[in-house]
Amino acid sequence: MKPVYLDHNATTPVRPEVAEAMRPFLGAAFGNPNSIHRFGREARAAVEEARARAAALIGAAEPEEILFTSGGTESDNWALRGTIAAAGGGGHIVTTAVEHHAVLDTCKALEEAGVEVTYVPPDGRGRVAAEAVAGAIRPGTCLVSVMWGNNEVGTLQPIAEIARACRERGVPFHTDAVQAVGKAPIEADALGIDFLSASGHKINGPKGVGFLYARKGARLLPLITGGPQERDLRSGTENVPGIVGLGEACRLAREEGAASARGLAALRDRLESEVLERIPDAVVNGDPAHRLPGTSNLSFPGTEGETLLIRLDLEGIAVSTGAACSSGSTEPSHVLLAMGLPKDVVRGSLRFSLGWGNTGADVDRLLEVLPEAVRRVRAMAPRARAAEGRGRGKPRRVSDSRRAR
Amino acid sequence: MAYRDEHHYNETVLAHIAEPRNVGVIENPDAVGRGTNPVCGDEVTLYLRFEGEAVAEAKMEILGCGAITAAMSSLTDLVQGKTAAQLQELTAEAIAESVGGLPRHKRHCAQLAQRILRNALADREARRTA
Repeated sequence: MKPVYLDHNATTPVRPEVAEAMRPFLGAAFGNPNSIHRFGREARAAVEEARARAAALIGAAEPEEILFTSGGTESDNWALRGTIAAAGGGGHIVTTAVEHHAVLDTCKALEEAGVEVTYVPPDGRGRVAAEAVAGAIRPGTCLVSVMWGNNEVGTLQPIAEIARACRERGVPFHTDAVQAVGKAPIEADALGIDFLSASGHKINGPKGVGFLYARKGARLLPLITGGPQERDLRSGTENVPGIVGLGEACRLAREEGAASARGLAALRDRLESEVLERIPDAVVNGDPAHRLPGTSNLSFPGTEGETLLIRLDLEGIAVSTGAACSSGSTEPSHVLLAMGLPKDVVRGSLRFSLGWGNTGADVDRLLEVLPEAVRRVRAMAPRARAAEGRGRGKPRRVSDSRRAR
Repeated sequence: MAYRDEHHYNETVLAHIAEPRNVGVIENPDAVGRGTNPVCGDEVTLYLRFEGEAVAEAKMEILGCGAITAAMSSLTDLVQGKTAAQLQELTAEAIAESVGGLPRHKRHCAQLAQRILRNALADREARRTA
């Protein structure tokens, strides 16, 4: 049976057009973009074409505002550490409790170096209030960093309002848009965003490449020194095949983004409504009104996410337990915990993330397998717990989870 | 030396998760051991029935991650025919090895399984002296 991949927030398949665009640069077009000769010129032209495509996708004013990196994690690290360094070290960062670990762990490391960090809590749907973020800004705040769309529950943050509040207060604003790029319309320049992180492999591009958008004039020091690449800001010979692949992925996302987002949202909504029909006590986590189109985070109380994941995997269906790198993590999701969800809901959560290539048949297959997987995991649970669960006939939606706080 | 994947579950572990052994309850057991992991919320109950000095039957109920499910599933087989004294000697490492090893970050699950077994053995002692 054809495997069903529903884990596009973890990574996506490289589209054939992307692989095709990269191929020459793994062969005859192997030049170093910094070389003066024709090999160098050919590679340089390809890198700059990719830069223009990335700039167009996120609404940058100029291609030069795109700085290629090794991916989203480096971009996040760079925005945070590079801004703090440019401000002379120390200072204060405002972020949220639901950021990706690329931001959270970097903030923790900066705290150890004397930087103060405010973590704005989300509501029960994973959304922070723009006023709360603005209210956390104080004299000495060097940066505000709020993710565009959450990787676990898909909740979109009020980025336009936050960017405006930062601008009014003269504080640089960074957004980790790794999950949102290509799925939500992004106008970085018009919104007044100063820094934006993006990743190639989340948009059907290759792994190991991404970019940081840095508005012209934004103050940023390099993390990696040793050469003049990327306007003296990110040394090291460019990953030309990766950058070309990223550029092609950006082009495709720009051309198809809106239509594919609508298709994914429709497929996701069908997945959710039919799962709830078959498993009425399932809980939808996240913000139905402000959500990435392909992301559905569902909890099945009285189960355990990882065991469900493996049961689905053995049936050829790939999903995630929510936290990135869940195979390396033993902690419950920091996002669901920050949302104040009950333990039972946090433990029994699964993330379904749809993307390019998914069809209704994939959802049909999930619907065949999931109810039995949930039933079997519940049937193994200690009796005391099963008795506890018997009162739960009524469907619970997001609003009920909020009330449970 | 062959690469040993220390991050993912091996095929033996996956087979235990797919079809855990000895799931259920023993009515009137000789020993009951419970265990929880406060961080990830695992909840396990182990039931043992002895014939003479040896375990004749083991059952478990479980709500937990893949690693604890596999460790307990294997444990319910391992204990068969063993005496309480022999079971006191059963190490967490032996439980992990019985499923071909656990990922590095999941090794604490073998320790939880061992603790649950010891809780059951202590329960048996308490019942016998009561």
